[in-house]
Amino acid sequence: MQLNTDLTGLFGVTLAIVALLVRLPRVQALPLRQKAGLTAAAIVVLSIPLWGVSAAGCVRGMTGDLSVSTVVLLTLALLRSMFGYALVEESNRQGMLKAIAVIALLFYPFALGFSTFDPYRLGYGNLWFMAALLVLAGWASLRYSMLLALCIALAVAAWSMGWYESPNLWDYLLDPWLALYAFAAQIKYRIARRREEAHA
Amino acid sequence: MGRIRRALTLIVVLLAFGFGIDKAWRQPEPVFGFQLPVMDPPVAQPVAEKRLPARKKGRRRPRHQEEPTAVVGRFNTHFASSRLHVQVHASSLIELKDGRIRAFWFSGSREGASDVTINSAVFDPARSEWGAEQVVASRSSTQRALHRYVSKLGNPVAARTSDGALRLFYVTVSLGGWAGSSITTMVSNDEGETWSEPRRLVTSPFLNISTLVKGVPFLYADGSMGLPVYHESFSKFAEILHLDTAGKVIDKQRLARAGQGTLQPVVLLKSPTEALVLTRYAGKDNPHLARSLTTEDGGQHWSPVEKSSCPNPDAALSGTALPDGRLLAVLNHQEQGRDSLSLMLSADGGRTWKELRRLEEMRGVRDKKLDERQCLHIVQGLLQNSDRRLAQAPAATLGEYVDSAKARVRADGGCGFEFSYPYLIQARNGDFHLAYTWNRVFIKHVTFDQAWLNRHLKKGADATQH
Repeated sequence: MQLNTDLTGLFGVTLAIVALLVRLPRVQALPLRQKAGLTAAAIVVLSIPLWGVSAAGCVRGMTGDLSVSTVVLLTLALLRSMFGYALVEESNRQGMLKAIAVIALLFYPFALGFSTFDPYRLGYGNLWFMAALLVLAGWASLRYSMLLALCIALAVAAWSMGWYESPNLWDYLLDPWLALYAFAAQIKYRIARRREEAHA
Repeated sequence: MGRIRRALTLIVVLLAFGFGIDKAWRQPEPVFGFQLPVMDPPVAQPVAEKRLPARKKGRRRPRHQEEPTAVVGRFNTHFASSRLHVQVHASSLIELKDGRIRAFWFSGSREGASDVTINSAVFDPARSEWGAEQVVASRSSTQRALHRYVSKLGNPVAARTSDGALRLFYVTVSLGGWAGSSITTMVSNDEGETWSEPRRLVTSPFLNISTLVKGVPFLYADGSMGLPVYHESFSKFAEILHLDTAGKVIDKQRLARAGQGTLQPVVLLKSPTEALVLTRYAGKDNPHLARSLTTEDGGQHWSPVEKSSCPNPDAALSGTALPDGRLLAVLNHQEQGRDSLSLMLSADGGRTWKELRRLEEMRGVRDKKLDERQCLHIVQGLLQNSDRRLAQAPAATLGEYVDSAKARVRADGGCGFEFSYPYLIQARNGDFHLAYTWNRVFIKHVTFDQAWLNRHLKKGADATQH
């Protein structure tokens, strides 16, 4: 099944912009109906093509398509901002971000030329890579972070459907923005832990 | 509650991996082994006499021109581009089904400007002339089709797919310099007259940036395509993309690791299993030599990177393998600068190279303090020697060409020349076609036949070995 990969790519970028918009303090203070109206208006404005490309398209040119994992996290963040409650507990989310930070730390240096081994090559449908991911997702769903397991599962499902223009599974699992966010979240989490320990 | 959620998550995981493993299982493995270009059976080639250069009485004939009555085979030069007062660069060639040659290059007010377009023109060997330039892709048409912002266009490279269509690859940048490049592709089923909507290739995990094309694409045994590319953001290294018949990336091979300075790989197919890759060298080691690597199993595995015997001033090179196993290359045969261009031959698989012919040579004026009049006089001579039409053109037309070239040649106030980015192909009838950047103001086309080459091969016995 071949989807319109421009629509799916633009959807991710629009979601990211809207999720950031509703995090603004002034927007958060609005009642739900106004927040929903503002969100709908933002989606329309972002989608109108000006000089051949929409505002979302301009951002997409610079950010690239966002991974499925990022889209899942953005959706959770948007729902939390809109309705005020978290669908996933914080420990679950932190567990996922920790795993993402470790994977990104191992993946990007090699994928960007550190050696002749290129882990990105495994993303073109390598069955051993798929098997390793299945083990990781199975273990995460039973023992670690269900959110991590769900993100991997949704990324694999999206890859098998051709959700994005990329034929490489890595682009569904991970993107540099998610990696940066995961690193920042780890640093913030560790600083908060140290402060708590110091107060205790 | 927790157990139910974990069980549900596990079910989702198993379902998703069911689809994923099914797709991975059904996906065909990349096939290696090369498809060599098909050549027409050799026929008696008409040999021509070298044309008489336009020169004034009493003036010495330029060094590289032949005696006018000697039978030398065919060796002709033209300008493929025709727009004046623009910058042009990075040309590539493809033979059309009727034997004509189509060239592509980028053209605009300056390299990297937003008005740069991908231009094309067709050379008719029967009439020995180039047709009018047409715009194939622009920044605005590309960004409209890709649904994303595009700031500039670069290097176009054309390929013939196994089903007979033309596929054009060109570089697009959304943010930053050339290190932020990605590759866009489109297809033509009418030999380049019209093109499909552009699509982007996703080739890098880091925002899909920093993959560029330059080398001649080739076919694997099953009709899939090998596209030599290079990465140059965090570090510089050569790669080969493996595309299926629909143009989708199915594999990527890294030829060298970061820090080895390998750029713009060129694949010379020696046999269905053997190939030599030559790369531009962008490192700091001296002597500054092009790098090479080889395969003996149809591209499945590649040897470690080695220094070749060809000097390289961090500039693109090109080459092709002859049906008899010898290799031809075109490069700047110097460690610094791009003010000469040489045709090289290797008879031992790429271990040693000898210079067959210096196609351009302007190193002699590099350090001479020439005033504008002297410099433009040289430019005028070069223009007339490069294209017969200019040799016979009215003074006003020639003056326009000289004026167009002046902006680049006199850019630093001196008299500097650049002959770069060669792209060499062999047509089915055995003729060779070479395109390269001529001082960034024109795309120059050189064509020669087997008779001309054979004559230079005989002469080459006393040429310098490297």
